[in-house]
Amino acid sequence: MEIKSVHFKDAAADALKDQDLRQAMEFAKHGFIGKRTAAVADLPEWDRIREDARIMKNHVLENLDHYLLAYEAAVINNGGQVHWAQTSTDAASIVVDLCQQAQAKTVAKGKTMVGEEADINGALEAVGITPIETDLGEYILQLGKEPPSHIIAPAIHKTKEQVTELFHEHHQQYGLTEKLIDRAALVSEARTVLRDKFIAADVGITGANFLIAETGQHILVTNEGNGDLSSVLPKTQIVIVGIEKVIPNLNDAAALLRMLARSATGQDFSNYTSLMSGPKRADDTDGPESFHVVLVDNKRTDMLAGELREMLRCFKCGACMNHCPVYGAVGGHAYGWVYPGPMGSVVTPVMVGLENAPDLPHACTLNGRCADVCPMSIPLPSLLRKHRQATFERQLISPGSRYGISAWASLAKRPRLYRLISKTANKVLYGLGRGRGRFAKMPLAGGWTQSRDLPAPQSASTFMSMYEQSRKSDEQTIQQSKGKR
Amino acid sequence: MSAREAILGRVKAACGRSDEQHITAASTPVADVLSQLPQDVQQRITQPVCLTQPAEPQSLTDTLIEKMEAVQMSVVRLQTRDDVIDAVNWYLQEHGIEGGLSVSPSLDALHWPSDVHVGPATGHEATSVTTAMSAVAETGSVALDSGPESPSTLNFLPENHIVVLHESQIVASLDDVWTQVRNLASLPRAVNLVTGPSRTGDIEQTIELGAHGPRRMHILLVAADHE
Repeated sequence: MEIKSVHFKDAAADALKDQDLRQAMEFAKHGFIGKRTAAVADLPEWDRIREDARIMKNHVLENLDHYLLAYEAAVINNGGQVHWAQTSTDAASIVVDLCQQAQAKTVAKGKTMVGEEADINGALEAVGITPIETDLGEYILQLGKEPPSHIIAPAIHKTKEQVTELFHEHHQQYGLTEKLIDRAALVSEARTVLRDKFIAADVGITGANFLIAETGQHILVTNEGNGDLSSVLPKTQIVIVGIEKVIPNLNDAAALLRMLARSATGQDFSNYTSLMSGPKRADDTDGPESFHVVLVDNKRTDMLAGELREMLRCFKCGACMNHCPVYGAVGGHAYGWVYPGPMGSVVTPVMVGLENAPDLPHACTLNGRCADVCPMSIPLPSLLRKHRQATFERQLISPGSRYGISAWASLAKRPRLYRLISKTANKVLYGLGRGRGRFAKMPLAGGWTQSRDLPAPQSASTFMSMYEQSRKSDEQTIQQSKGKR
Repeated sequence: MSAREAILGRVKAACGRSDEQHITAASTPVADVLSQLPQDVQQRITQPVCLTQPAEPQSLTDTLIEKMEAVQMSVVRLQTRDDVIDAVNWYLQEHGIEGGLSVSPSLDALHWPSDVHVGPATGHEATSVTTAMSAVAETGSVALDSGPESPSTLNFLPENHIVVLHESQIVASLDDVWTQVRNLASLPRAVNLVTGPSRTGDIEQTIELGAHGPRRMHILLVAADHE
């Protein structure tokens, strides 16, 4: 996928003017937040499960090599094959090789975000293999030739009317010429078109939510059942997944499953939670003949080694973006790569380079809602601050901002000077603002006052000067009372 | 150096471990791999314990039915397994469902009409009837293990899925299902926890049923013991 994160500011500005996007994002805002809140409130054990999960996943990250080795051995024991990819490019070429070995013409794909990292679709198309996205949201985007804008609801930015137009344009080739406006009819038509493609597909590719070291199974969670059809019908099954997804055992998975759907969609449990392992067994009458797992690093080991390790606890539920005011305003595409929202602003700069996404860590109001709702207790605002520090140190923010921050920092280190200047500035602003109460324009802060007024100080004194004064008068009172004695 | 060694080497370095433990070869048997892992890791894999579980409901059956109905599964209660065929026919008639029946081999002993297909789904039958390994009161799911007697295509391809479940098969939590999985003679290719008809919210975040899997799910809950 092309990396456009460097254009965040322009893309965000365009997004704010997009009326269709505004309409689509309104739907999302109301649904996700309320449903999640209700689902979490319904589980009294939530806090304890969340704490168990955090501790468990930290233990895994401290022992990641051990759990990967155990998982790998178990997969092989189940008759599967394990492939390792250092980069997203390596992952794509492993998948292409496997598809070519299977002499694949078409591939049924379940939604996989790691697959998006590696642009599997582009790599397959380049060698003449046709990938078919089977998740309805991803299918809509494939028709519209667009990237996903949300990690669990990829087509969240699309309105029903836009889907109507896309289906009308692309389904005529199958003799489906009626222009459908009813939501159920649209879903039904996609089902009909995709069903034949499922049956014809030579290879099925999905992601995985969790890898179980104990059994060598992977757990795949969907609502549509497309992941299961992609896993059971084609002769070759490929699972592409990040190395951080391994966990020790099935009971550990239960803790994560109890939080995943509640955090993501506000359901108690997703429709299909499948534990799968290896190819079909000797006596089985259905299932794939060969089974492959592609374990992808793609900078995850960099995160493991550095200050962003906690990010690897993420199981990609999307709660952080659902609760982010910046994401809610600009949508996912403005972020310019696979992962949007708060988790994207942490992960993208690592995976594509901070120099290619310098604005993402700044696209945050530090309100902390993402960290509050994160089921894995990832301190997203703190991690974003670490990126911010790096953008400053590596001179990736504009000279103006950098000088501003440097000037402020040197001032903040000299408390007396700082107080003197703020006292003077306050007096001046108080004098100028008297009668008006607010400033519609400020020199050097045009961008800031463009969309709001700066309130004028309500007093000629600053907090510090008032504090000084009250301390002095207190001291006088004490002195006086001592004098009287 | 292979990609495998490179990645595992970077993980080791990131975890602050020098190479005192070498990386076992990919072909090493499970038991040998496990025996070389640190004690706490080995234990967590081979002797798993439950983390925090939700409180167990007072009545497994009532909770299960309530949860299932909340996700658009319908449930009818039968006295014995002999009532299954009548109940299936009644359901098909009630909903005006035509288009053939696929039945899992685990139900072959019942006296199905001769035109019923026994075996994996072919994609042509509108309805499947299967058994289940268990059902989970915590989530309102049926747990369906794959095998020659219970092909998993039956769970996904037909438009309507009818599951024959015995009351004695209901377990309280996900962790109980894991215990059942561990106790099976061999690990099945798939264990599908299915919680209602297939659905999607991908068009304007509004739920529609029947995205890819069954549009309808119907549970025949048999009171008498299994077998």
